[in-house]
Amino acid sequence: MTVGLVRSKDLKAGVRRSAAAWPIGTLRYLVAAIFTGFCLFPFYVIVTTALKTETAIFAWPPVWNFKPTLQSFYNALFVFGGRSAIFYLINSVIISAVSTFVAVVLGAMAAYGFARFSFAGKRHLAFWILSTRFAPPVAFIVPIYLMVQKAGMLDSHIALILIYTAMNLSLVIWILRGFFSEIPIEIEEAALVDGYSRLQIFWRVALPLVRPGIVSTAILSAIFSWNEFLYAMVLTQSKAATLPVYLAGFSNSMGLAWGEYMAVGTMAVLPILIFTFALQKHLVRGLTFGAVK
Amino acid sequence: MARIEFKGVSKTYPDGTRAIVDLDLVVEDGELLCLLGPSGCGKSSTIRVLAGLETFSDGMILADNNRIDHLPPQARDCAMIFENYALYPHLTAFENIAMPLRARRLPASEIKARVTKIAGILRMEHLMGRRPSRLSGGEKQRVGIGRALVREPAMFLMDEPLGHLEAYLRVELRAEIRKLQERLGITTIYVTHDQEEAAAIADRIVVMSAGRLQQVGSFLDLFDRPVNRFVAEFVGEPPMVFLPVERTNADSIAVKGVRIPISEPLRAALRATQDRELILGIRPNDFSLGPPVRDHLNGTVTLVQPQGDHAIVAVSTPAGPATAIVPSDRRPAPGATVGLTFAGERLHLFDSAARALNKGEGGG
Amino acid sequence: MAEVQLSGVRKRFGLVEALRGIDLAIPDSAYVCLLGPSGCGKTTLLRCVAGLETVDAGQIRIGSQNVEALEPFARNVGLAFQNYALYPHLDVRGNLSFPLRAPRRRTEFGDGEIEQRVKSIATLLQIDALLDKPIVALSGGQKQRVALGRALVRNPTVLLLDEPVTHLDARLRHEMRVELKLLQRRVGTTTIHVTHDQLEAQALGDLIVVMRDGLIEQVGTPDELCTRPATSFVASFVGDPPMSLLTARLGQEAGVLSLRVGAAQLRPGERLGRLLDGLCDQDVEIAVPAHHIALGHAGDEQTIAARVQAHEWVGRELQIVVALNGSPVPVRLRTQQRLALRIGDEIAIRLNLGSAHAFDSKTGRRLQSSAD
Repeated sequence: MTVGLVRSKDLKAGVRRSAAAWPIGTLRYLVAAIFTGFCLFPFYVIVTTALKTETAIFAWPPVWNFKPTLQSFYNALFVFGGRSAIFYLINSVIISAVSTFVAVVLGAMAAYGFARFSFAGKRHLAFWILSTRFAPPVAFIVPIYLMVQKAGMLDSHIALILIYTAMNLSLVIWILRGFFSEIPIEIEEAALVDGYSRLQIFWRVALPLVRPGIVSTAILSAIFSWNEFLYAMVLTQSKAATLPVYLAGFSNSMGLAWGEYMAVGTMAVLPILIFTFALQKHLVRGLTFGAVK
Repeated sequence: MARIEFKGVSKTYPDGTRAIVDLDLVVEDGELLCLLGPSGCGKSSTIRVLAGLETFSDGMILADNNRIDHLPPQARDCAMIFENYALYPHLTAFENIAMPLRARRLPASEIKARVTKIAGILRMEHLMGRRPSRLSGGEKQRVGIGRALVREPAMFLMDEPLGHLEAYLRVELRAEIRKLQERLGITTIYVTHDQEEAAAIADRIVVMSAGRLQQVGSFLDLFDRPVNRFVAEFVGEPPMVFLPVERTNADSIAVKGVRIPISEPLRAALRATQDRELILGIRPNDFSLGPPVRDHLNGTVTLVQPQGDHAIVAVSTPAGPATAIVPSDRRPAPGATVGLTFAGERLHLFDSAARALNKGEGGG
Repeated sequence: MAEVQLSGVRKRFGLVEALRGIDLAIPDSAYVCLLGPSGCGKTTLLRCVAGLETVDAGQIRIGSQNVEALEPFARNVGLAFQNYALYPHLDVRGNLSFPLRAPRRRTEFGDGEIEQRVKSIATLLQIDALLDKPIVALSGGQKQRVALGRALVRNPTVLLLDEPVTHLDARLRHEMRVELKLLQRRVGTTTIHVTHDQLEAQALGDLIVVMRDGLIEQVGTPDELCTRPATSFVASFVGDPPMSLLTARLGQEAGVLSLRVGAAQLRPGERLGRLLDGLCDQDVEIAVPAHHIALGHAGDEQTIAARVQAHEWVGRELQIVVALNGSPVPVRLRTQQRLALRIGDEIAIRLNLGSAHAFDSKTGRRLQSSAD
């Protein structure tokens, strides 16, 4: 009997505890939801505006319930004068993809060198590489403009690719260096004894093990190159202009075509979003977990 | 100081896994009790339930006859030491140890006095200014022990505290823990999967398997009077040798046709059962090896491992593999044929349900 | 299979001299254990043989070939690391075949042969059921087996093992120890095994190389180390439990030799007396095997007062560690007596010096009589 009594008391205690817990848990979710809404709201406005008709855009109070239309997208792509948005989208893709690829490949090799070899002035060199990010980009705009001009590379893809690669390299090297140093050296030594050369070890052992690092630096580099505006604005006019440049010029030449403007904005966000989602599954942590001990 | 009592404690996870099954256990005031078992046997769950870090499904826990299972962890007055040290990396050793006292807002002078005293007991005054990153594994665990100790808890719960350390450090630190415990007399529950560690440190050992308590006793109890095959196999290194036996008579047995002399209590136990699938258990220490004899249990030596004044000899017999510990000067050569004899009064018999026939008697 | 010969091997890391002239001959097919405390140079020596470290001076021969200038892969050694160092992005099969697929060996093995070799090594190590498992899914013992398999799959001339079982549980360690030895017997590959565990070294080694501070203290069979330790360091390192090392001052009263240990006077006996001849009024080191130390009664002959530092059960025996007055070195003994000891208790221990070893206290070298 006593045992039964105790157990029912136990049960009550359990209920009381969880009852005390619920308002706090709910509150937490509420706060999180409000914050998420706050962050997503601008994006919501961009996308919905792009999908509205012109009357709906300027309606006051705002129309929450509207019939979406792709008219603005169509206009932006095919109707508006000059080059279509697709032209700039392709420019952006080429420049971002190539500069990201080159930065990650070169950066991974440099990072491996920093992580695994000792050479004179290693620390100074590493610091110098990071220091390239210290100054605000705008400080270098004039000398770089002059360099690009003298090289006859104004309004060319290669100029932006080189500059973005250089800017991303320091980030890639510093992040990947940490990833490489976390690989137990014995794994590479084992491969050395097994008959692999240093370069083969880099490709076949080290690189697969830092995949999460490669993916995250590639995403960060791509986002940077995709969104960079200042250098693209100054160094390109038409042939090599990227989406941000096009977007900036949009309102001036066409008046305030809000629907089309937001449609291009939506299109500008999508590729990087798709890229990030596609790579996300490789962002698993602890790939080396289980290798040792 | 506390006497801790588990009464019918059970813990079942939502997926149906039974971590602890109906545990009845008394931990006497001031004793050092080891919970020993393989991983997943419920030993860690048991102390985590006691500490209040996990809830349980059924039963109750008492400290000095007062129920404590409804109390939040901080009110149970137990200090816990974890395998991974769980030190605060941004604080010095001194601050790490002082942390539980700061949480109670003790005056600075008293905190200093108490931390200094603990540092003295653990002989680590010189480490007090260092951060965990500048401490070795053994030193980190000492700081962990110091932090647990500083609040003078009623009980000490240690969850594989030496698991991360190197072998020689484990031996050193476990002696230190034992010494500390003897000196302070705080009721301590020590969880380990290493039977050697349990043998070295414990007053009493609780062997657990699959959430169930198998046996409680001193190391010698478990070593010489195991209640079942699990305990017999888990305790003792090298492990007990098991050979299948045939019943030749109501109270006599044979291994591969060779009659095995057994003690009177074991004969009595044998007479009391009809079970025919019996297993003979022999400690490697209880074998002696001699020249092979006809109509005897003979075997071939497969491996000899010298260990100073004794050697571990692996023998392949018609009944199965056996391990014997013999004095160095009498060890056979690998490949030799030897005759095995065993001390009749130290044999164990297990029935088809793996229970010892001579429970609580026989053996040593 | 080949013998390994080291002569005058030296290696320095900055200011630290890790190896200070190592001469060692390892016979073909032998199982050799390099034994010593951490920092003694045993791992460096192994890495020098593997080619992961270059030697500053000296020669390393494997078989008839000088290898000290060769790259690791050209030495044809198999290496198993302390932390396994498996390739986590590959499964068990990928790990085992990795050495065979090295671009440098492209012409050596066809796909069929690789598959066949992986199969046979996996069967040998009883991991054939795990071939398609990822490394993360393996237990410690299984990982160790895969690491061994990877080291052996090329049929190396020398197998190098760096603390291969250190990370395993006690039970598994003992099991793997047996497996290692049986495996080596089967494949017959000359094996060098680095360990800090003297019981492991004794169990496995045909020969044991005891190292200290970058030098070899002694090379011998397990029996030789126990019965004829070359130095006091070796003596204090071997045995289960290890021998106890006492510092004593030799005195002589009325023609009778006596050893003063702390406040106690011990008679060295005839054999030890002969060894100590001529060392009157000097300090000597005496190593006593644990089974020659027993509990005694205070005041009896050949007994010393001691304080209990630790006590623990080892099988049916109680192992007691005691401290002698004024001596920092622990003395270990085992007894079958059932005692309820507490740390700090005063007890008396009786020493049987009949088979004790004596060492010069300055050089640490063993004192030997001509007959010894």
